[in-house]
Amino acid sequence: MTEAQFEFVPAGPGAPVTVRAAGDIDLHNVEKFAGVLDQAAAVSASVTADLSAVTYCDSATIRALFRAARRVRLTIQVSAGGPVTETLLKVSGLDQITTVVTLG
Amino acid sequence: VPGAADAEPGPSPTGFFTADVEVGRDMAAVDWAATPLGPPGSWPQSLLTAVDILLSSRFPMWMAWGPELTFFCNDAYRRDTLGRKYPWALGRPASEVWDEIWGDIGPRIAAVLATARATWDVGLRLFLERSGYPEETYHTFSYSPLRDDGGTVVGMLCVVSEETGRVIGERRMATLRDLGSDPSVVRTEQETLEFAGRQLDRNQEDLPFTVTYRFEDEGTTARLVTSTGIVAGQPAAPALITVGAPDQVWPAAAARRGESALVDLDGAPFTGLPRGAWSEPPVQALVSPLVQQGGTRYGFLVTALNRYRALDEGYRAFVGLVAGHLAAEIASARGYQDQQRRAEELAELDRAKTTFFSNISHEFRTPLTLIMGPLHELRRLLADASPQVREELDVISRNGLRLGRLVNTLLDFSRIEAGRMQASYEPSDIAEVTAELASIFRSAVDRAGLAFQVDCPPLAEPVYLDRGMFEKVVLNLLSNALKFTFDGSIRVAVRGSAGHAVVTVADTGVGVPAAEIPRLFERFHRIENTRSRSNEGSGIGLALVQELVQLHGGTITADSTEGAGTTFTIRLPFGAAHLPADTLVPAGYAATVSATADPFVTEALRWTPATGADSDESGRDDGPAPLPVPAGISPGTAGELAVQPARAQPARVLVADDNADMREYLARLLRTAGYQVTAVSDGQAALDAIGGSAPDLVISDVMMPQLDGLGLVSALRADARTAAVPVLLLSARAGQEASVEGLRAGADDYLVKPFSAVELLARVRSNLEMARFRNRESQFRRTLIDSLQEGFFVTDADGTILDANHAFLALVGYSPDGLPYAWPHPWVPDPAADPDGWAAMSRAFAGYTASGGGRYTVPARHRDGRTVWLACSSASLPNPDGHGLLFVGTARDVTAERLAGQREATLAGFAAALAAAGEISEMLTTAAREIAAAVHASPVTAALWSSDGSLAVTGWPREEGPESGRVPSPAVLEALDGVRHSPAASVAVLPGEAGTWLLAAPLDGASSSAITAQFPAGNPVGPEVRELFALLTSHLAQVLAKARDYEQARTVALTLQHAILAPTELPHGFAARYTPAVPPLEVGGDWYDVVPLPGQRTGIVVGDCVGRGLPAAAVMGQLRSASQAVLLRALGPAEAVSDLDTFASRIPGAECTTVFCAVIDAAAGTVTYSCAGHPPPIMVTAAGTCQLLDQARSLPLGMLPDGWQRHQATATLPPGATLMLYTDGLVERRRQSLDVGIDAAATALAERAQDHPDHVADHVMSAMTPAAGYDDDVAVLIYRHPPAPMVVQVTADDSASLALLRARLRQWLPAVSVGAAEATDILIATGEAAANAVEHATAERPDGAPPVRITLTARATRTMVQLTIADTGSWQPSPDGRPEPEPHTRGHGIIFMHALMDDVVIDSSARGTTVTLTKELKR
Repeated sequence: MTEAQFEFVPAGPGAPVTVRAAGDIDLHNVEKFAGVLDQAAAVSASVTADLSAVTYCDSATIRALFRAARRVRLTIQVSAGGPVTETLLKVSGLDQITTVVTLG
Repeated sequence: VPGAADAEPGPSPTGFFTADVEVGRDMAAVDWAATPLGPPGSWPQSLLTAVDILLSSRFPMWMAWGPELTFFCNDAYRRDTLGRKYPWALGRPASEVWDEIWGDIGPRIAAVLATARATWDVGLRLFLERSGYPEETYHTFSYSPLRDDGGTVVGMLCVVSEETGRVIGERRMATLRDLGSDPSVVRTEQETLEFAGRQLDRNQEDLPFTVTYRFEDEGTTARLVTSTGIVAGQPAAPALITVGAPDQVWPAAAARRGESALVDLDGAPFTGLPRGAWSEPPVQALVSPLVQQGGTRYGFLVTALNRYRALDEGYRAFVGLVAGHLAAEIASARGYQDQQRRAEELAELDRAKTTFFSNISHEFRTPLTLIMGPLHELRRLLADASPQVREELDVISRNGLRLGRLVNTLLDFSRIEAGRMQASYEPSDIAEVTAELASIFRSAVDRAGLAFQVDCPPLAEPVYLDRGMFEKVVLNLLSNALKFTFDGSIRVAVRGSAGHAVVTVADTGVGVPAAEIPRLFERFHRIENTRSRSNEGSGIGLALVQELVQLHGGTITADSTEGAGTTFTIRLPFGAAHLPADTLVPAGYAATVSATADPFVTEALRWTPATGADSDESGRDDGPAPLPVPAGISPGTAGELAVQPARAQPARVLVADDNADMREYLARLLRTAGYQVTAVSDGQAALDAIGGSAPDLVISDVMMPQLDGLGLVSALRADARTAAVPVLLLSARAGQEASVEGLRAGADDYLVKPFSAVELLARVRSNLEMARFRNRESQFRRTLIDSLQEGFFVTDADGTILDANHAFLALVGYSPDGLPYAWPHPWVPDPAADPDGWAAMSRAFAGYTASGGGRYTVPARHRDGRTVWLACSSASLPNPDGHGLLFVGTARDVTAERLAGQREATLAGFAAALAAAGEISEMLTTAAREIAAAVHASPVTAALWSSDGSLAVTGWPREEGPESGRVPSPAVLEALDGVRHSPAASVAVLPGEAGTWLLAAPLDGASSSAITAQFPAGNPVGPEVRELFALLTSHLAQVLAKARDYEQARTVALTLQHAILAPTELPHGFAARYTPAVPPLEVGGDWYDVVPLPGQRTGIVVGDCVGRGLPAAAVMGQLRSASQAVLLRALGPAEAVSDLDTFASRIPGAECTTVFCAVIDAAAGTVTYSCAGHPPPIMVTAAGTCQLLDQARSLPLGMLPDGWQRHQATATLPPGATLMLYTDGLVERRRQSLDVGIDAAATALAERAQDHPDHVADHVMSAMTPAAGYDDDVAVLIYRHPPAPMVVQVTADDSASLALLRARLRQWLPAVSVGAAEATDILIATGEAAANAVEHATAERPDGAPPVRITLTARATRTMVQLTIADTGSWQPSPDGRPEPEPHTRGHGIIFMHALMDDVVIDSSARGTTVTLTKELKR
């Protein structure tokens, strides 16, 4: 298990504003994640949440993503076979209001 | 089927047969009272138990009980074997159910009942009537006795495994393997088909007979080419079939369209058909077209079908593969033959042409020389004869010249076509050259009364011209213009225009009819009925002009209006980029030879009106010229003496005397007599004056300063150019001795002063006559030698080339002016730059000088730098001067043959290298490397496109970087993509990046592969390189096509192999690894198996047959089937191994197999095992303690002496223990005790005692891999026993509590064999439950209450994981006082739990909440 890290990456040439998360996201650090998402949503109408390095997440994380998706155009990057599973995104309905990119 | 329709739906009403709902229901519907067994209520307990075992087993079984052997079976048997006989068969006598095979099985059952001993049959062939026809099936089964409550044998149980798929699959696989067993040899089509026929003949089960027809005569007939199982010529195998005829035996027309057809074999040509391996003839045949990839239909294959098998997908696919294989073999054989034939035809044509034209040259040129030489002499001698004689002679002379010109033109053609036209292009001022050539024609044009305009202003850029060729172009056009023009003018102009020089030759002549213009440049085409100055002409002049212009990279066009005139326009590009680099020479290099002009002008003058009988040719012929009568000498004497040689130029005489008076006297005397005189003061001055141009006579004083007369004679004789010059010595010394001395020095004559003028002039004249006579002879000889097409040379014993003809000098590119050429000749290869060439030449030189001649082939370095191979033949003769030997030799250019030979060698090496490469990608890399070396290109890049459009690139060199074949440049990629659609065997030349050149070729006709080679900037790619590249790539294409077919067949073979290997899907908790010893095979002699048994028991087995490869695999397949069956039937491992002993003794090659057989009881936590000579399995506890299962050991299968028993032992499986079964390949190493290997394996296993079984298996395999890889079959089977439950307790308000729970779970899940995806699901669901506990427990808790604790309990069985998350707080779905949940975002936790887990139970009470999550483990 790794200590969770959240990083705000400003827009670059050809790259949107990105929030990069790594490690386990749970009840105890989800607010930090939500805070960084808020920061991104404040500067751009289009945000990418890069969750490809996330090792665990639960409904609290999904909740934070829902909140962000209501404010901005959200793209979620996940890694194939990772913990942010299709089940989570499909069951929650999050895949219907965001763009999900699965990295091979 | 009686009885079936009456069956009532619903569960069994009687309470019997409950172990299987469906079959139980059908059994309950049987009217048992009508059978000898009576109603089920009256059955003995032993029968009820037997039926129960039967129904609960998932392995196919049937049993028979009682006096009539009443039939029972389970669901698996119904599905696999019984087919349409179900449920009719239930409750019937077994002999009725299996009437059709009772002859086979009846005696076996009787034996079981009589002896109470089990039977065993492996792969027994039975013809079952279960599908509506007698079906060929194979079964491995055992009959064992069933006893009633009293212990009497009253029935039998049959455990059966149907192996029809395996047996038939193996049989077909063998045929396909045999067909493809010889992939490297290219055969003729007939040999190929005969070979295939022999292979097909070996499988008369699937192919009772086959006939193969080939389409011929444009597909109108089909000819029988091979047959198996049937004699050619029988009614069903006629030698010829007319395609589309109404009464044809086989539907050839359908096959011609590429369609398959199924033919019913009944009625007339099909009576009395051969039966193949069966007792009845086939009833159907499949006609399959033999279709090549490109769609070409070669013919068709008729396969009679096995009447005992349905024509299912597998059967069709098998026949399809056979037909596909035949088609591919035909394609390959034809491709090879076509290529061979084309190459031979071209070579033959070329040989014929070359022979024809060299014959012309020899047959015509030599007699022509012998006509023209004497004719020349005759004209001189008959200069005073009557005008009629002279006219006749002139006619002969002119026509001789014409004939010579014609022969030379034909020779030019033959040279151009053989690629032997040795052009030398030098930068030229085309305006000046053209004007000069035009001026030669001026007199002829003037004489014809035409205006002649020559308009040739200088151009800014030079044009590269071969002077000899260009001369022919202009002279031909001018001669043509003059011939057809009667009034007006001829105009020659040169201009520059857009990168080209444009030369026009225009006339105002008769013109050419428009219809004739397209054929104007055709060879031997003449325009009839046209007015011209002469009817002479062969019709090849303009054709040659066009060829010559094209050699210059230019074009020629004609524009004509009938009656108004014709204009020829030649366009030649500036610069040299369009010309081969090795043909360029610096300006002034090529000699300006104008010998060609003579015949043209002579001929042209002949057409124009002559003004006088003798005026037209006097200027250019050697006719007698009027001679000046010398003054100061008496006319009579002088006139007589002054009869000069018949030449235009007076004879040149050099006078050397130190006495000025004497010198002046002699000069005056000689000039007066008509000679041209040069006078010098001594011998050295004489040599200096001579330089390179020898006089006709030298008159020298003997006594002179510097160099005297004798020295001068020696010096002149020593130089080949002056050796023949006559020398007349003058001396004051009289007497015999002095004259002898002078003559011995080499003087021709000797005159003692004082001498009279008359005497001197007489001596001069006679010496000149003598010399001329000698010269004529030598000139005649030279003309003859020069007319030889072969190179000719004369050397002395030191190797100095004294004389050589033009042909020889042209071969090496040197001029006759340089003669003699001393050894080493300038064309001998440089020892430093080309040591091999130097050695070859030196060896040849030493050889022929030592042995007096010989034949040798040597490399010579042409003056322009290229290497020319010369085949020389030399012979010795005595030197006429008496000193040593001379060698005369001939030389022939064999460079082309030599290159062809090298090409053959290169191709052979290429083919050998490709044959050694295995897979297609390796083949391409090898090909790239070989092509790079053969054509000196880098990089060479090959690309393969797969059907989805993706691209794989390989190449040479392999390093990364822009010069690498692996990272192609855009230009290379574009070339590959462009050329892949081209027809097979085409080669494209394309510009690459930075001035480089690319050769590109497709590797098939299907657009799916291509190859390119890159050549350095500067040098255009020569035709030899292009040919070599085409040759190599077309060979590569052929090999690739074959390799593709082979890989396809291999894939099929692998699939069939997998059918006899162990299950790929193992129950949960197991992992297995298998490595065969013989690489191309995927199976070997080792095996493992896992057999689920009733209850929580699982049978496991690992075995190792003797030997490796396919034979061992065949034994293995049977033993594996047997071990499955015995595990299901036997009471324990010892009995199972004992049964296997029996089977092993009946299967050839199975004895001495080692086996470890065990039954794991998950409920009891034990493993019971028996070992037959096998290495002991290793058990490791969760804590890492190792233990060997080394009890109950005995000898390998079939080795047990009479009276010995198999034993079994039981070991406890602690929770979380890992068990590893393996074969000796894992641990056995040469010169090392087995214990060392087992210890190492145990250590590797202990290192991963808590990891997932898959990871454990990978770790052990890699930790044990020997340095050189495993050299024996290896099988490893891992079992993880479910570990003890895990209990973790945390405090809810600790911020690290959730992380701690997750950490413990992450550690525990692999130990219970949970895979990564399922582990993620469990982690999230558990996390949700725990998060809810934290959230609610902390929110609801009144101040001062004890901290809420969360307890996680995780349990695992072999098939599921259960997690309980309990907290001590209260948890309500929607508590008061909390903010309303946001829509769509709340409640995901519980939804996720349900979505991720199989069962979720939430139990909430005042004392806390317990969530129980259950996940079933799939496998």
